[in-house]
Amino acid sequence: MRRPVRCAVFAVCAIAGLGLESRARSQDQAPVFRVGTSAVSVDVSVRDRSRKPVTGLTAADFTVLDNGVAQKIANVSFGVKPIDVTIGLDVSQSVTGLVLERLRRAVAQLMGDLRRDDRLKLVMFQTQIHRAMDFTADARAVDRAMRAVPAGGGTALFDTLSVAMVGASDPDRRQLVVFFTDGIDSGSASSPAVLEVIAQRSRATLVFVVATGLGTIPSGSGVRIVSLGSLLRPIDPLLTRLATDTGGSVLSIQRDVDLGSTFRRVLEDFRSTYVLYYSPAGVAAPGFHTISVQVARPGTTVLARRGYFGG
Amino acid sequence: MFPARVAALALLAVAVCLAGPRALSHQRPTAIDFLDRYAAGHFDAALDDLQRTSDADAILKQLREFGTSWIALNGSVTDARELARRRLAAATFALEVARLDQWREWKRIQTPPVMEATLSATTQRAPQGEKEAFQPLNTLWWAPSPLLVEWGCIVLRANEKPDPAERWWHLAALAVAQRAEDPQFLIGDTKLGLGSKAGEIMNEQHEILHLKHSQDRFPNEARFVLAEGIARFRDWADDAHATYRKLADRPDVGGEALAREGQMFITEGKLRDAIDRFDEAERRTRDPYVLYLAAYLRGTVLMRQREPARAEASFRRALAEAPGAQSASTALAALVLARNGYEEATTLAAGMVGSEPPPFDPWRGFLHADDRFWPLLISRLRGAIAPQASQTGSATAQRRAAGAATSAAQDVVAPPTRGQQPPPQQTPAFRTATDVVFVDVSVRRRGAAVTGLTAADFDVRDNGVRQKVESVESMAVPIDLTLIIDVSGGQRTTFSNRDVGAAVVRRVNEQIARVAASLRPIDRMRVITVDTYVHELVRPALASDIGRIDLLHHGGHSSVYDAIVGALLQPVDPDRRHVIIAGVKNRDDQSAVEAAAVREVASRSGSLLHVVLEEMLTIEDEAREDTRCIEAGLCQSPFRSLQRTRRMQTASLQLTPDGVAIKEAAEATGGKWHQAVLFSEPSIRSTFEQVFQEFGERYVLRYRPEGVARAGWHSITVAVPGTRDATVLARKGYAIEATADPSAASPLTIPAALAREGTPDREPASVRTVADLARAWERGGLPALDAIFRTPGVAPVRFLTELERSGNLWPGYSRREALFILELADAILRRNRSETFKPIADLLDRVTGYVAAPIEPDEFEQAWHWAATSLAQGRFWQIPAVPRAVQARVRFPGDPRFVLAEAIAIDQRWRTFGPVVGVRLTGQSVSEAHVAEVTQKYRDAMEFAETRDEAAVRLAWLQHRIGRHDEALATLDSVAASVSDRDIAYVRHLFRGHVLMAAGRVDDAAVAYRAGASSRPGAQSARVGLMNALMVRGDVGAAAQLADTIETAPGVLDPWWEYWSGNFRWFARALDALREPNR
Repeated sequence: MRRPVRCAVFAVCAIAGLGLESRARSQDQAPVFRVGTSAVSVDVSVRDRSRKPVTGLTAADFTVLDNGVAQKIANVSFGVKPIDVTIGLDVSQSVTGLVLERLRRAVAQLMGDLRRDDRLKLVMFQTQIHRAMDFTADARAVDRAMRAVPAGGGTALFDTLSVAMVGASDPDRRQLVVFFTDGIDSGSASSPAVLEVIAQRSRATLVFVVATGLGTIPSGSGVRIVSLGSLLRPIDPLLTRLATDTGGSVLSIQRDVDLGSTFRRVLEDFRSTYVLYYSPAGVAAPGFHTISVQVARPGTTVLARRGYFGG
Repeated sequence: MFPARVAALALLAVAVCLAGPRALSHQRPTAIDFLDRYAAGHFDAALDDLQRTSDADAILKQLREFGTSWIALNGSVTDARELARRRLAAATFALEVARLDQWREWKRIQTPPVMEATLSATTQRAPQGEKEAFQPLNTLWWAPSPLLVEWGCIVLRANEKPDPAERWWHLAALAVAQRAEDPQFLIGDTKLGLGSKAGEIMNEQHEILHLKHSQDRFPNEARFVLAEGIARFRDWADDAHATYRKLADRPDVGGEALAREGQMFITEGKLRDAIDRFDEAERRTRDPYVLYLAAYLRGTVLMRQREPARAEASFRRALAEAPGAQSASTALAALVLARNGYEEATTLAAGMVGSEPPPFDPWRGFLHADDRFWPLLISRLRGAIAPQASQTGSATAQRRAAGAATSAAQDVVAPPTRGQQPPPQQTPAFRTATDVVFVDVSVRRRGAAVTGLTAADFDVRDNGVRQKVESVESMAVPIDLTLIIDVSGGQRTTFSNRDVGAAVVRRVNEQIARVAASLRPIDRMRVITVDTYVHELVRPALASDIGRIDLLHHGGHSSVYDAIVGALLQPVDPDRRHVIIAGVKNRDDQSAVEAAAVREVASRSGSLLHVVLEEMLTIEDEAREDTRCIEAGLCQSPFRSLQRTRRMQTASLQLTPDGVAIKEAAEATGGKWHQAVLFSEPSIRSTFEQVFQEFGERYVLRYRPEGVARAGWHSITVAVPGTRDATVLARKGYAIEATADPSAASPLTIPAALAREGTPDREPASVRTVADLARAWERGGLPALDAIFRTPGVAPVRFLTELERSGNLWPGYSRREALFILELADAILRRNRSETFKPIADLLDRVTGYVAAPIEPDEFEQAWHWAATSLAQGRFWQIPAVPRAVQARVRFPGDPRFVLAEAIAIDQRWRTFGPVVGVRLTGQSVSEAHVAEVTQKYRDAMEFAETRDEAAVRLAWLQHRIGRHDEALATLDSVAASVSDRDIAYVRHLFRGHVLMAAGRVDDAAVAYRAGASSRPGAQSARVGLMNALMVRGDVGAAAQLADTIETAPGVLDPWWEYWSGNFRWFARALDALREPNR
C-alpha cells in the first residue's frame, strides 16, 4: 500500500531585518534567529490537484493574513536557500536490525540527493541524545556513523525533538528536521505542552517517518524487528500537531515502502517551497501570531505554518 | 513457774515461726528464687540448680501460689512493658521446667474396673435379676509438666494484646508439647468417639485444650493448624488428611503438610499417593527438614516397591539436605552394600556412628514436629526476657539449645572417657583392598570345643573352590569389641513415670566396667548406646582408658537395628577381630532399616555379632512402677511410634519374623542369639564372658583366594573332615568391591544435582540443561547467564520449564538456588521475550515460598524480597510488581522499603512521563480510586524517616501529573533540598522545574532546572528542562547553545531515566547482599 506523499513542507523564518540578515554563529554571539519587530518569513508550499508543485508564482499571487490582518509581501523566493537537514534516528529497542539497515541505506541515498551547499546532521537517541555526526556533506562519514548505532534502551523522543528544534537555528539556512521513530516516548523530561511551545518558536519544519508495518518484515537474519507498538496504536496526535504547526507532515510508511524514495520526496517537497517575506503591520508585536496564506489560483493546495511568536 | 515456761515456749514458737521461712529458704530454694535468677538472665544456672534440688510438682505448686505476686512484685510494678516482661519470664520459666521433665508421662488415664448391675424388669428388657456389665469411662489426670505450660499460658493471656514474644512462647509451648508426644494436651481427648477401651475419658472438664488458646491469640498462625493435623493423625486420619490438604498451598507450612500426609499414606499402604505428596512437597519448599523427609520417605516407599536404584537416589537426596543424618545414612549404607559398594557403605556407617552429638535427623525428629524450633525459640524468648544476658549468653546455653536440637534426650553428654583417643587408621570391614581372607571358625563336638586343629585339618572352599589355608591363629589376635546398649525408654513404653536417669547411668557403667575388666591389654572397646539416635558413647579405646560415664542420652524411641547395622559396617583393622555384642530390648520403632536388612548386612560382614535379648525390665525401679501403674488401672500405654513397633519376641517367648531375622544375622557372622532359657537370663556381660572364653577355642583361618573371580560375593564353607559330628560355625562369606561406581563415588558432593547431570567443562554455547546453566552461573555469575541468553537460538522458556520440574539444584543450599533464580530471571527478562514473562513470575512466586523461613522471616529472606521487588519494579511491564511488593510487606511489615515498594508498584500501573492534563499521550487514563490509593500508599511510606523523602517526591510527581501543581510544589518543598539520596535530590529539582513550568513560572523553573543540572553534572533531563525554559522565555541563543551541549555531551546516567523502574536502582546492591551469605 503505497501512500502518496501529499504534504508539502513549510517553514517560517522570522529574521531581524527584511534583508536576509546573516550572522555567523559563535560562542559569544547570540543566534540571529529571533522574532524581530520588522520582518517575518513564511515557507509556503503550493500544489496543484496532482500534488505537483506549482511554480512561477509572484508576490501578487499570495495573500498573507497576520492575526487576521492582511500584510504586504516584500519579497518571494523559491528554492534558493541552502538546507540543513537534521535526521533524528530513534535507536531504542524498537528500531533495530533490518529496519535500521534500511534506514542506513535511505540516509546514504539522501546524502546523495543533497546539493553542494546543503548539509546533514545525524542525531541518534534512545534515552540519551547523541549527535552522531554534526552538519556535514561527507556522505561516507554519515554512513560510518550509521553503522555504529548503539541500539537499545528507552526513548527520549520529546527531549530529542525539543533539542533538535532549538538547535536548528541558523537563519541563513532552511531547517528540515526528519525524525524516524515509532512515536513512543518513554523517558523525556519535556512535556507535550512545552514541546508544542518550542515547536511554535522554532524555525524548523518537522517531518515524522513512523513505521506502521515494519513489524511484519520477516527476520530471516535473526535480527529484531520494530515492535508491534506502532502497529496497534494510532499515530500519536501530538506528532501530527507538531508537524502541522511547523508546516511539516507525518509519513506513515508500510513494510514495502522504499525509505530512500520517501526521504527523497520529503527533501524535494521541502526544496520546492516559496519563502514569503513581510513586515507585520497593524498587529501588536508580542505574543503568538496566527498566519493564514492564500493563493489566487483555483485548484491549488496551500500549506504554511500556522503562526509564530512575536518578540 | 508454769506461766513462765508457757511464755518461754510461746516466745520460742514465735521465734521459730519468724525464723522458719528464712531457714527454709537457705535449705531449699523456692520456685520464686529460681524465677528471680531466671528473670535476671541466669537461665542455665537457675535451671541446673532447680533440676538438682527441686521437681516440677513443687515448682508448679509454688508458681500457682506465688507466681502472680512475683510478676507484679506485690503491686510495685506499674510499667506495662516491665509487667509484660515479667509475665514472659514467668511463663517461659514454667515452660523450661516442663521441658526438663520431658520423658515422663504427661498424664495418667485411670481405667475403672468393669461394673456390674442387676437389672430390674421395669427398666430393662432383660429378665429380672440378670446382671449386666459395663465399662465406665476413664479418668484423666494431668502431670505437673502440662499444668506448668498451662499456667504460663494463663499468665501470658493477661496481656491485653499478644506481642511477638508471646507468639514465640506459644510456638515454644507447642514444641514442648509435641516433644512430649501428648496430643491430648493440645486438642483434648483424641479418643473421643472411639470408646472407653480406646481410652476415651469421662472428665472432659479437665481438658486443657492448649492449642485453642494459642489459636485464639494467633488466629493466622499456620503452624497451629498444622499441629492440629499432627495431633489427630493417629486416631482420626481423615481429619488429619483434611487439615494437611487445607495447608498444602501455604508457603510456610505447605511443604511440611504434604510430607506429613505422604507419611500417612505410607502407613495406609497408598504408596503412589505418598510419592505424589513427596514430589509436591519438594516443589513447594526448600526447608531442608521437609526436603529430607520427602526424600527419605520416598526412598522407603521405593524400597518397598523394589526399586533400589531410585531408592538409593532418593536417600542420597535426603542426605544432601541433612548430611550425616542417621536414618538415610543407614538406609543408604544397606542399599549400597547390597550392590557391593563396600567402601561407601563403611564410610557412611563410620560417619553415622562417629558423630557425637549426632547431627539432627528430621526423621528421628518427625514425631516431635516443631520441637526442631526449640533452640531458636528459647533463644528469642531469653533475649526478650534479659537481652544483655542473652547476648553475652553462655556457651552452656548454646550447648543446651544445640543438644536439644540434635538429640532426642534431655541430658547433655559428658566426655565419656579419660583418655579418649582418635580412632586408629582402619580399613573397611570388608577388606576389599586385600587379597587375604580371615575366617573365624568355631569347631565344637557335643558342646565341647575341639582344640588342637591345624591348617591341614580344615577344608575351606571359596565359592566352591577349595583354598589353601596358610595359617591358623587363635587367642593371639587382638579384639575390637563393640558393645551396643539400648537405653531407650522402657520396654513397654517410651515414656517413664519415674526418674530413671540415675539408674540408667549406673547400669551402663556397670556393664562397661565388667566387660572392660575382662579385656586384655591388647583389646579395645567401643560403646554405642541407642535411644532415638545412635550414639558413640565410648570411642574405640583400651580398657584402661575408659572412664566412668556421668550423663548420657536415654529414653525415647529405639533405633537398635540401625545401631547394629552401623556397628557391622564399622571399619576394622585387618589384624584384629571385631566382635559386636548388642543388647536389645525387644523393641525397635525408629530404625531406618528392617530386620531383614540387618541380616543382609551381617551376612556380608567380617564382624562377629552376638545379640542379647534383655528380656526383662532391667531397671528395677521402672519395673516396679510399671507394675504398680498397670495393676492400679492408672496407665494406658499411649501409642506413640510412627510405624509398628518391631518386636523380636512374642509374649509367649516365640521369635517373631524380626527376631528370626536378627538371630540369623548373628549366626551369619558366626555369632549367636542369646535369650533367657528357663531361669537363666543372659546379659551383655555374661555373653561377653562366654564369647571371650570361646575365643580361646576358636580358630582364625587365613588364606589367599585362588581360582575364583576376585570381585563380587564369595561364599565360604568350612568343614573339618577328620572330626566326626563336629559343628563348625564360620562366617558365610565375604565380598570384594568390583569397580568404583561413579554415581557412588561422592555421594554427598554439593551440588548433587550437578553431579548427576551434565559435564563440568561445557561452554555456555553448549548449555543444554538447567544444570549446565547453574554451572555456568557458578563460574561466571550473572554475566555468564546474560551471555548465554544473548546467544542466538537459546530458548529461555525451555530452561524455565525444566527448572519447574527439577528439584533443588543445590540440596542443602537452597539460598544459593534462590539467588541463582533471581539472576536467571534478570538475565532472561533482559531479552524481553513475552513467552518467558509468566513462567518467570511463577518461578519467583515459588522461590518466595522457598526463602520463607518456617518460624519467622530472617535476614536472607528480607534481602531476597528486596532484590525481587527491585527486579519486578525494574521489569514491571514484564512481570507483576505489585504482588511481589505486597508479599514482601506482609512478611516484613516493619520494613519501610516494602511500604514504599508497594506504593511505587501501584503507581507504575499508570505510568506517564509528563503531565497529562489536557493531553492524552497514549490513551492512558487514570481513575480517582487509583490516585487515592497511590496517594495513601505514598503517605504511608512518608511516615518512615527512611523513605519519607522519596515517597514525597514520588507523590509530588503524581500530583503534578493529574494537574495539582500547587499540591505537588508544596509536597516537593516539604523535602529538604539537602536530601541525602543524590538521585532523589536530582529528581526533586527536576520535578520542581516541571511543576513550575506547568504553573507558568518559567524563571523559577529555570532556577530549579539549573539546580538539578548542578546536582548531577552532565545529566540530560535537567539540561533539556533548562533549555526548554530558556527557549520559552525567549532566550533563544542560550537555549541553542545548550542544545548543542546536550547533543555532544558524553553519556551520564540520568536518575530520571530510572524513575519508573522504582527500586531497580538498588537491584545490583541487593544482589550483592544476597551473594555474601552464599559465598
